[in-house]
Amino acid sequence: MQTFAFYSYKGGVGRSLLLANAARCLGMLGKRVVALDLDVEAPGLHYKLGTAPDPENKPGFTGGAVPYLVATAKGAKNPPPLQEHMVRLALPQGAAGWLQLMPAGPAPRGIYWTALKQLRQRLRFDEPGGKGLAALLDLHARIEDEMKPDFLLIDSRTGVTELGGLTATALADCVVCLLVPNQESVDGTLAIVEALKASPRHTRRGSMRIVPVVARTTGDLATEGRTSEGIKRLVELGEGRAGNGKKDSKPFALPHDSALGAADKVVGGDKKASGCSPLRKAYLELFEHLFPHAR
Amino acid sequence: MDVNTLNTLVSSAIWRAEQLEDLGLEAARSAWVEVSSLEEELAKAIPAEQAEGRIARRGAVRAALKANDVARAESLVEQYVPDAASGALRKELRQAIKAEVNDLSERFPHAAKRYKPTDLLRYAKLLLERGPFLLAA
Repeated sequence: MQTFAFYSYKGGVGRSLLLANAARCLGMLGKRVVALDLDVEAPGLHYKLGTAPDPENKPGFTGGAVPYLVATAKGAKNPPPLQEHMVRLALPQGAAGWLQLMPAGPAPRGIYWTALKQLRQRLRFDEPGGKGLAALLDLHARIEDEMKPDFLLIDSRTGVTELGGLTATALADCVVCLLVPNQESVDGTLAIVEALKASPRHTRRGSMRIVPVVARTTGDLATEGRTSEGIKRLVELGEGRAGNGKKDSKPFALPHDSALGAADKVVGGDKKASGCSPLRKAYLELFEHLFPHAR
Repeated sequence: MDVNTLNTLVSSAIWRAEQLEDLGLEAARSAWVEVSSLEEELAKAIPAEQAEGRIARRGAVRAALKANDVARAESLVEQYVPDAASGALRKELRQAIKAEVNDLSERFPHAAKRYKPTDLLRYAKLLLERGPFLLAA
């Protein structure tokens, strides 16, 4: 199982949408995929993947990562069945793989915020006794042991949070760092990427890939100025379109697409949808780089 | 500081930590850290041959475990084992750490298959000290 964390220092950059597209695309290519929403304060991956709660608020699915972690934090000897916290998603006809979602929980229903409050009371991810860290690593390992997916794609919390930090430093084989081409976003992302490069490998196997992706671009990226220098540095530290750590490499860029962006439309793997969209082409170029053996 | 003053401080620190723990407040953890530090000072002042010295050593380790700081508890045990004076105390201190580590492995068996509990504890301590992404110096 390869684990990809989708991270952004600032919100609103299209991180969850990119993840949803990648998950669907991999499923279409015959891969077994689990998407995990750990953006627990503002969960939304279930909307992107089409499993939003019933608008009439009927009781339905009550599982997800937060309820699962609450259950394990109680110290129960028998852990909750993983499948009760997963949603199997339909893929277009002919897709050979499968896609399952572990949403953060039944957000935005009240029971979700109650569960999140319980989680904060029962499990701290920075406690020195290691239970928070162990609970997260256990969930990660259990997904691998029981579901045996080819890929685990994790939606990581924006900014600097314990859970976001652990997702990137302890779980991920590859961190996809989304940013927009402004100074605030670039400076924050640089601080995170430098920290990731310097972080010790306590729990991960092998080295970590870091792929910066500039989102919501309009036209060509500037080649001069502080923002541009920052983006160049990010590509040097991580991977660009020409490969790993090459100075002349260009960053992956996702052009702004008002139609797809406004509708939060998932097009990954869909041959008909918006076939000529520059955003879709950029997605595919990025996916080929991220998952080179998926085809 | 004299032993009497330290004893008074330890007693009131234990009382405070227990009350905070009963209330389920987050501050209980730092209160147990304080208890552990005071017991450690007492252990420095009283040799392990004396019953009070052994109580202080036991108290320092157990309070560190109450504070969920297994790494500190381990380091105290390493410090106390050579002069523990009695095999029983040595065994008890080591047993306390082992129980904590076993609990972690039993509760999280999938993680335990891949990672040594001691590595997890070391990393957890690092995360506490340096914060998310280990950004803090």
